[in-house]
Amino acid sequence: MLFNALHVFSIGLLWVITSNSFLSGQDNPPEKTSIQDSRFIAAAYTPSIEKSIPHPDFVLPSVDGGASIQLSKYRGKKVLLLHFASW
Amino acid sequence: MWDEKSKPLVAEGKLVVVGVVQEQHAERARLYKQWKKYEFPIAQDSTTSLGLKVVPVPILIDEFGFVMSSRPRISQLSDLVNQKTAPRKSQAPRLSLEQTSSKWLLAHPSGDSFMSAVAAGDALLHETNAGSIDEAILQYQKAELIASSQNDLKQTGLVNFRLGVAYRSRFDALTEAKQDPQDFSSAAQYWARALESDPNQYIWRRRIQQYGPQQIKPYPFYDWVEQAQAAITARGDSPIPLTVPLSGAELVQPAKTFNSNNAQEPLSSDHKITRDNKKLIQIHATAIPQKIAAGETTRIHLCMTPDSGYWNNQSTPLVIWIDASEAGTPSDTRLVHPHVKSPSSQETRTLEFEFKTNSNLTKNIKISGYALYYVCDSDDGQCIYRRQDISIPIQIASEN
Repeated sequence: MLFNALHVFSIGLLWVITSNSFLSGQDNPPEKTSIQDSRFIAAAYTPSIEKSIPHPDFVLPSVDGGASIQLSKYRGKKVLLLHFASW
Repeated sequence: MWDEKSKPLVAEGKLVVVGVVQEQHAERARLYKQWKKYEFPIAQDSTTSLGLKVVPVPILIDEFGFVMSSRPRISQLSDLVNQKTAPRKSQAPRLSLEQTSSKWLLAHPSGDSFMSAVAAGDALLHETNAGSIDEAILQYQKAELIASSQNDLKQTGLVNFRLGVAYRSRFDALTEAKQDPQDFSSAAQYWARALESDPNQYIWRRRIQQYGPQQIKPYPFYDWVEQAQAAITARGDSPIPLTVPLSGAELVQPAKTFNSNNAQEPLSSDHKITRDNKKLIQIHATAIPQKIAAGETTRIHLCMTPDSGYWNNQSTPLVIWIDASEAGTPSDTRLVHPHVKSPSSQETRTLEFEFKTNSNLTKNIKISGYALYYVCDSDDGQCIYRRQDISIPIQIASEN
């Protein structure tokens, strides 16, 4: 029921994408982009999630406590990132 | 649904599932995970740092860190996962764990002072050391000043939402006796400002609806909790305890119409009852939404915190009477706090009601009422029945 309800409000809404020089849609991001910059981008800007662009790495707390979850730790395997609500 | 479909692919070692929730309270997501028996890790993005405006959203990422598909259909999952990824010359940038710590971020500010302050604030909010929330608030305030000075609406929204999260976190982190209800009010205020800057940010909108009146709720937010706790208990497990109790607003059903339950105020000598002039109990009201148009409804959260006193629970319970008003109609005129078992206690007590304003209002209004309670004075131990008058300001949007 929860997922259904959330699905309803997501229908018809475009996932708004903002332009970002870092996330330019190129397969190979510019070499000058530093780790530090990517952290700031992940923290402060809406990422542009489009096919074939690098997904910004992130480090976020786990809901279970303990070690943080870092996306790039799973590099080498395909990752299904599931954004969902628990409300 | 996604969990079931992905399980065989995970078992074959072809796929990893990582959940992300924009939940303020981690343990609620943990309970949800326990109930649904999710085995994948779930990250908490309480500040919406990843920029999502709606959920649910699935994103499939390839072995090199590049997006294969955003919003794939569930029926496509197997094919996409089994699809061979063409070799790439480079991988997506990785973060260094050290460089995501607040210590490092504060010591290495970038040229963009707004981004530096926000990133440091996020790191501080994630680090649950004593005082880190206070420091996170300071960083966000710094970022807010920068955004305001540049008239940057987008950045203002991003940092205002974070300030709301931080204030609510501080409210929840303190023991009830030390909670400052102003923190909750501040959270509501910043969330409202954030939403004003981006009305299409539905995750931010949900935060207002979570604590707001029944008429703006798209669904009951946490009605699943009781069901989850019962199901987990039935299978012989202990449900994850919720450290932050669910409030009335988080449990009530949505309603299309406004319902009023007017209790008949007894003919009494309430007005003669000694006023709590020492303010042994501090009463703080937060209206959500804080500003409404004439004719709309707001939900009032009344927080009552013992200051230099404590509750006497061996007599009449805490009762709040809401006065009749020419400005609108309260959902309830009599609010009663549930009985507390211990003979005395010092917790913050919250009671809620809704108020539907009349459509002809042109200026801000005040709702009045009074609280009746048994309280003991910490100085002399004297316990007495007290009255405290309440005045609740409501902002009407048409007034500048």
